Amino acid sequence: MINPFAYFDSLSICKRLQDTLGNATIAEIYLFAYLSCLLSLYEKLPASSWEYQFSITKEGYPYSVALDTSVQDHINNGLLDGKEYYVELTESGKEVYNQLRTLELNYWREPFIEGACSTILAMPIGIIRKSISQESEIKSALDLSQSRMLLTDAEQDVIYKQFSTLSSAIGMEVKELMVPALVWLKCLSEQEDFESGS
Amino acid sequence: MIYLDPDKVKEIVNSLYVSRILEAYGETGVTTLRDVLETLHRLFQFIEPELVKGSLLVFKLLDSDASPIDLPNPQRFTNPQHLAQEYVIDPTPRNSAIQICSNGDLMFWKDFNLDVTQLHNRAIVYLYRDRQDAFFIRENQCIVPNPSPVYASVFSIPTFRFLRDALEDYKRRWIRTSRCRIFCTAWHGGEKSFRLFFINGPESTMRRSLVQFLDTVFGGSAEIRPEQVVDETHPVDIKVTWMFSNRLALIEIKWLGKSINEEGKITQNFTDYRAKEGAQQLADYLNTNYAEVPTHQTRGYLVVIDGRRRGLSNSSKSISHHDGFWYEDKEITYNPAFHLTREDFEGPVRMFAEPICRAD
Repeated sequence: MINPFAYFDSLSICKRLQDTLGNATIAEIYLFAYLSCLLSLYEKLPASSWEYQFSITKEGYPYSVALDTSVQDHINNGLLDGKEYYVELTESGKEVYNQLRTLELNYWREPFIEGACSTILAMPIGIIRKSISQESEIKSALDLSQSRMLLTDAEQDVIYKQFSTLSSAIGMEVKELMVPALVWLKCLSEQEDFESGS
Repeated sequence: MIYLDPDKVKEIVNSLYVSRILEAYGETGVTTLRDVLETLHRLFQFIEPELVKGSLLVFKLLDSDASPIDLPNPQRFTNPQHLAQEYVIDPTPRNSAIQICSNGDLMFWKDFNLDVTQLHNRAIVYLYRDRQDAFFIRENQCIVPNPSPVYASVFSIPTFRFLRDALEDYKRRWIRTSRCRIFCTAWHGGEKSFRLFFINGPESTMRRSLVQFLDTVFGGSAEIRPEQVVDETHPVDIKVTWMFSNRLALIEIKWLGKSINEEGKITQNFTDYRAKEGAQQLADYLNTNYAEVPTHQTRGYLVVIDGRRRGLSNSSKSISHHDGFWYEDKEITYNPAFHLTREDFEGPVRMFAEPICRAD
């Protein structure tokens, strides 16, 4: 069964990545969907309001069954053109996205997706991924080489605390979520530099 | 659990150009910044920042209803590629400027003489000069740190989809002139040396250099792992795994040239024979790998870092251009030529690493 939110998010993220990078890989769609969901926590929403869940692979990559199903459905229905390990939004895909983004069901998600995907304008995507892999749950899954669910209740508390620190440091409410996203990624990236001694 | 130190976070907020723009110009500033960043990415697809002589200013007014800057002789472009063509055909060092108009058009001044202080209160202003990116935020210049200084601008760091393209870029930018800070240390004498001899056992340094490069440019979808076991006796230098797909790549690195130890004694002298050994080794790995994971589509890449110099003895302290570049275009003939006979074996990539030659 297709999750309507994952159905929309996969098109919206692919569109944005494609605008900057020319196309998107499936792993990048999962990664930026996860970052979008985290940004909804920055706005103090519970992770459950994102309407689908994420897990982490033992290699440390965010994954979502709901997104996976949607991406496959888009490829089967010609909304995404699947090539080797990356996808491109087709003209029909763009049309469907433009229709769906106006629906009340979806438009509230756009600022989170926009904030997450805008980070690629300021940071190389490889560094974004490495920074996210420093996030507590992903890091412990990676250290133990275990796959597991993400954004458990305990982890949400950790993220809320981190984002509260972030929000105080930024010192004002922001609608442009690219700002907290980049500050958070920079904090994680410096954490990695500290641990790797570089 | 990761604890964020409030003081550290505050320090980051105070130093990051994005948050400083938010503080100085509010949300409008960040929205305008996003337009500037999008334009920079598009421009640097067509303008190699390394070739920018002089400076390049890119700005967008915060007030979208304001008229464009009134300066004589602008050229107007709707397509950044066309602007780039105009820019690159003139190699004269100049201080040029591009204004991003509210409708997305680009106004281009080849010679721009306006004092930047006249802009920084009403525009997001970016300046590229001498391999450095900066934003003017009110009266202050905020330098953008570049995590990969091999690339002249942080906004020109590419994202590759194909390993072959990435390796060609690595060859051209990172190895040819030893610009990679890690790779530099593989030379005896390091960064300041004339790049005649490698250090004793430079393999792990070369591997680290390539792993760091691939980690930066290969997007968010490929796992780059050094020294992965393929058969019982040998690990392949680098294994690339594309997540959520059945694609794998095995990269074997071989170096050619001479290595020298701290006492100045030559410890290895690898000729093209070493590259041929590497090809056989990679073919064996591919066979083993196929037996282990038959459902994966695996491709093998042989990277040959060529530091050969003609007539080099252990007492050599310098080299002529003629001898130093002797091997620059000497391609290696492989027999068997696995890259011609096997579907899973890519053409070897020989990366000639240039010496610094004496003037004679």
